Amino acid sequence: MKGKSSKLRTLVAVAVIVLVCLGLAFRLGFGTPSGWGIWDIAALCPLGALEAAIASRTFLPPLMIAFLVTVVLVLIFGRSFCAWGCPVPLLRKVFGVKSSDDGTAKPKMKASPAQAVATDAANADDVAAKAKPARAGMLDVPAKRRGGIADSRNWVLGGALVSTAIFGFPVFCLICPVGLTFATIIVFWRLIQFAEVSWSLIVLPAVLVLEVVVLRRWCHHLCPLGALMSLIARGNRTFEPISDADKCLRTAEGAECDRCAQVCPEGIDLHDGTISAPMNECTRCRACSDACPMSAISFPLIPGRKHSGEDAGIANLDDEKPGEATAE
Amino acid sequence: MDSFTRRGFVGLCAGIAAFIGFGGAAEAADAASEEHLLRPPGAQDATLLAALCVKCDRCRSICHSGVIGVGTMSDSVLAAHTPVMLFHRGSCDFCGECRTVCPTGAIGSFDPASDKVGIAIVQKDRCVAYFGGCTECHAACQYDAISLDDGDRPVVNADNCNGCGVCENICPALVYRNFEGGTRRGIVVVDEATYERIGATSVKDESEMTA
Repeated sequence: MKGKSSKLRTLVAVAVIVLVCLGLAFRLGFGTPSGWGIWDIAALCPLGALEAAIASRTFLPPLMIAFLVTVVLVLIFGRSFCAWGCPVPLLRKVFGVKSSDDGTAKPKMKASPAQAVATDAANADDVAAKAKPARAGMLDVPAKRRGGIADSRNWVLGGALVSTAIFGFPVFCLICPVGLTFATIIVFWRLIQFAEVSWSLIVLPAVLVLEVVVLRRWCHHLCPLGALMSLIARGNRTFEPISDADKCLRTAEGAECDRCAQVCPEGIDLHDGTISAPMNECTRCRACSDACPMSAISFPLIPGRKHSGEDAGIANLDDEKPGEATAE
Repeated sequence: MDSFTRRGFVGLCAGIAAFIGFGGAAEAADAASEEHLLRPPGAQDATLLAALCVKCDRCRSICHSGVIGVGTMSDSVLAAHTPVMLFHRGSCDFCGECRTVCPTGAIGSFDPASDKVGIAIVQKDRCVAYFGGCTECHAACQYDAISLDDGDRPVVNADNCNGCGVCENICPALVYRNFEGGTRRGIVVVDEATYERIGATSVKDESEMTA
């Protein structure tokens, strides 16, 4: 199930950490993913920027510009950061935690016929949620509803923003696993360089372990940064996965192949828009492309012609259900 | 649909409640600790800095003198990992690089002639000049903020001092007199609130500094 992209993703996530460390070693001021750039050109973590703007109750042009840089990046590349830049999947691999990011732990949205019959009387929307393994079941929603108000990531996002407005400091930043990862690197760096000892040496790794190891489904159920990037990525139309209808076993030969949908950690089904998660959830992890036996899936800059009638079913959330899309 | 809207509303309320609990706890813990940190030149006041700093580390990592360090959890919950001036590691030449790289505006403009990072205070029980002879800080100060009294001991002129910290950085007292323990040097830059409380640019011993 794990293809070449899995290794490549690990390498890129390591490269991000190496770049940060180079910035530390040579005083280049690259910063960390919370705020990164070179010279006075910077991009900010979109959630950190929003929180800072809300907390400060002032309009600061540099903050807005750095925020807009990130918005533009997300509009072009979607949620790629989640698969390629974020240290959390990397930490999972390091700790050997069975990640919810690979296909095996993926919520199965297609209820089997037997399960469908058994729960026939139940609310159709609840079927998929109930048919899944009980792991973190309380927070599961059908892939179709990801990104809406029923998505628990958006509750965390709402909580982060409202509490920041109340208290006047970026509340979520205190526990953000991305920020904590790099803060941990920095405090250990200073421990070695200057023998500086602080509680952070214990507290930061402890919180990180809690988030990465104990809250295993952080990315899909709790991460407000992913939720915010999903919201921004609703405007993203570039580099989306496209299945070539002439190559695809399903569309070209009528075979019952759904390998791409099986491996997608985000619940996107390129062939069935009725159960697929909205396309803005795509992290460009390329698991579908790796899994496809016909190598039919590509990520073109501009989507060309629609390759099959079925593809049209998976539009972005905002295209099809305006009422639900604006619920957040 | 209905059940999901209700579920969404309840979940959102739970999320907000959880974060208000967490934020309130963080704020309570922060209020309990008294913070007299020295910030990079031009840093916003404590409230605005807490709001704006996303702890991205750019200012600290670009600082060519290494004077910018990270706040610790002992300083306060909210100060942890924010930039603080550590004059044992360097001193500030007001190059403005930290301000240039700050992506949020948490560090603003600074005029070395009128603005202050802090004010240097001579600690008499540590200062080598009170026991032997030493005029290192007087020689190093570029702002005419340190003169020498009749006994060749340093006297800080608070109006001229902008808290660049070159005096504290160069002070050899910790080297020559560290048998007394502690980590303070013979001349120490303190924040303006502490200076106003002390009301002078010299103190007898450390107890006056930390009172």
